[in-house]
Amino acid sequence: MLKFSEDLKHYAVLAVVFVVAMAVPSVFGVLSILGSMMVFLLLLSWSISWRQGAKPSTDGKPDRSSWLFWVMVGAIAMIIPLIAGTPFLLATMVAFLIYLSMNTMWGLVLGTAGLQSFATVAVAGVSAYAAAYLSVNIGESNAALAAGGDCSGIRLFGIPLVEWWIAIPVASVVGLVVGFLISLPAIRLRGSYFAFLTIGLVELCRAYTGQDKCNLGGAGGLFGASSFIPSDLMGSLTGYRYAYFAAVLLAVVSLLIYWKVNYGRLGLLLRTARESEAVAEVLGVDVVRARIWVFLISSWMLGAAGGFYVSYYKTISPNFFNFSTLLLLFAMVMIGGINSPRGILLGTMLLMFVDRFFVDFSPPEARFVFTGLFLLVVTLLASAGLVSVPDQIRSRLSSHG
Amino acid sequence: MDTVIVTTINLTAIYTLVALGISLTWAGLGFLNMSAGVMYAGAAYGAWLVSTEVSSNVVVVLLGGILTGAVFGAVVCLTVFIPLDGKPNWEIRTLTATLALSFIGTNIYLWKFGPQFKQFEPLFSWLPKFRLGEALLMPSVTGSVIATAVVVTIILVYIGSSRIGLGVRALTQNVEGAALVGIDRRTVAFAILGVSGAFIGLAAVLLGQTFFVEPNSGYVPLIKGLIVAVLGGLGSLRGAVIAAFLVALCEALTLWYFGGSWVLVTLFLLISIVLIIRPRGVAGLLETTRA
Repeated sequence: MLKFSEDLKHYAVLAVVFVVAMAVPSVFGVLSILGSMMVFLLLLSWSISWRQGAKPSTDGKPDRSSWLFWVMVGAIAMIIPLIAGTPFLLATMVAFLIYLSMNTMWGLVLGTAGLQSFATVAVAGVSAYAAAYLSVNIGESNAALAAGGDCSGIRLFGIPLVEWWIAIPVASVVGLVVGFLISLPAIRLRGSYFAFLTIGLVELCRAYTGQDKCNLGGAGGLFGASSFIPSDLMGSLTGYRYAYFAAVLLAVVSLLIYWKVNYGRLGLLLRTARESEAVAEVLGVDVVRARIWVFLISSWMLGAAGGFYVSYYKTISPNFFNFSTLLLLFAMVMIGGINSPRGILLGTMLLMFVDRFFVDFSPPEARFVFTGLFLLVVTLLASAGLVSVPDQIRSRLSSHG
Repeated sequence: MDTVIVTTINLTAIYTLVALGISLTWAGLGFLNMSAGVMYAGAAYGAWLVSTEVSSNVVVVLLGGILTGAVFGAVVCLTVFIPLDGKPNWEIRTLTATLALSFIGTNIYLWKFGPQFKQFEPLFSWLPKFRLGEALLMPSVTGSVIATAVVVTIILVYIGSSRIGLGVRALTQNVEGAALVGIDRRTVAFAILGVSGAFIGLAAVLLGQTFFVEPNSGYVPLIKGLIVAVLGGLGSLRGAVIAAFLVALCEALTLWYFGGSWVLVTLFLLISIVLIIRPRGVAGLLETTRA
């Protein structure tokens, strides 16, 4: 009975916090809903971890009581399109959900498998380019370039132009292939060597896409791709609602894949290999196979996310591979906590909010300096991102008696 | 073809410097310094300020770059190494922290100095021009090579003979052993990062003779320095020099035959091939030192 009333008190406090969080946007503008929801979810996540902390938690165990967190996330996801009066909030949310989808997949490679890969952006970007190439006729969309350059307008291998519903699946297959190729050196290279090789790969993608004017549009990129938003709804609130729910679907699929891999057998194998390769091999874990699998699964999804990106924004340019984009995504994954889906969600939300809410802030660099400082402070103080703070406090307290 | 040789010599000298900075940090302290690019740009701005505000004397400007680089090294030590030393998830956290520093630094430069290109006054114009076959050996190339040789020699002699240098060498060979004989990791860490910063700072001034200085100008040297350091085998001095030569040659040949836009492509192919054949780089001595 006592247990029940304690729970009740807990939920009552949460409800009050939730109402306060919902009220914030009415004072600070509609975009702050992202921020206030993020604070609410962070507090919720902390309280769940703190209550669970009595028993020592390992990141491999399914988080049984985290259902409350995900129910709240789902509820918020449903509320947002209802209260959004302008496309602005929805556009931000779509961007957030695409990032979330990419970041969860990155979390599998970086967190669960412990491979320091930065190839995420390369996989998603190459797939996005593939999707754009499939649905953009560069001769028509960029007539000036086609006329000025010596581009013949003939498509590589006579690839036909297709609509988005073919382009996205093809992009995910392209992602799969690229992911497989990247997983090969991962078998031999360790730690920082692999980090470096994959950063180089992203830079290579940027250099190449910026050069290939005839096929990939050079520095301007490709634009005018086939979009899943019907053309008469483009730019309207209904069109954005459409995009929002499509993006929610994308993020949900990513989270389900994350869940299945991270808390399933593959995740267990990968974590064993991450902690000690020798132990994993002695136990008969086929480390190479497990790592190739995680690359394949995550790259498939990244390919789909890249295809989605193109069919939503209708454009892709070499800026996708910019080092600062890579850093922003990396910061999103690291700030929340790499080993938990909650952490990835919260980190992505937090930086998305900072990035968009302070967009008019002057000087513009202050926003990035702030993001960087935030990342630095969290990295220095929290051992595994913001979500790990309660566990860290608890272990600190218990070690001091 | 003679142009290829001249370009190779110049680039070898400069890449060796950046790679030494990265490699030394890795060998001594066990983290990949992703903020090397920001240290580079910072040192370049420092030297540029010195040359415009104080004096454009060659020694003063070079010292300005080296000292700014060393100060930046100390900052990295204070903000990354000391707070994280011995903490869990060391590898990924140092990587993140140095990346965060590079994000902060680049944006501070953008804020304070603006995106405009800054250019150095030529430092070595007093040197005579040499002919090497058909190619003209520009004073900046001669100067770069001489300055690199002088500074690398001074620092290597310092590491080889001083007490701090002894600590540095001990730490690069065996961390536990160094701790057992009473070497203070933190003091040595300052020395290592300071020296790394000095190398990178010198490279910044020298490369600033040919390229402009702007907030992102550290990015390409960072990538190239990493390529060289990784290719040579992180932590290996000899490997770094050999790899710097290989990378510079590859770059010069690509420039000559295909043009500037292909440099990264061929470099990337080169490093992929070398790493797949020898995962620990050319020297590959790391199996016994740092895993």
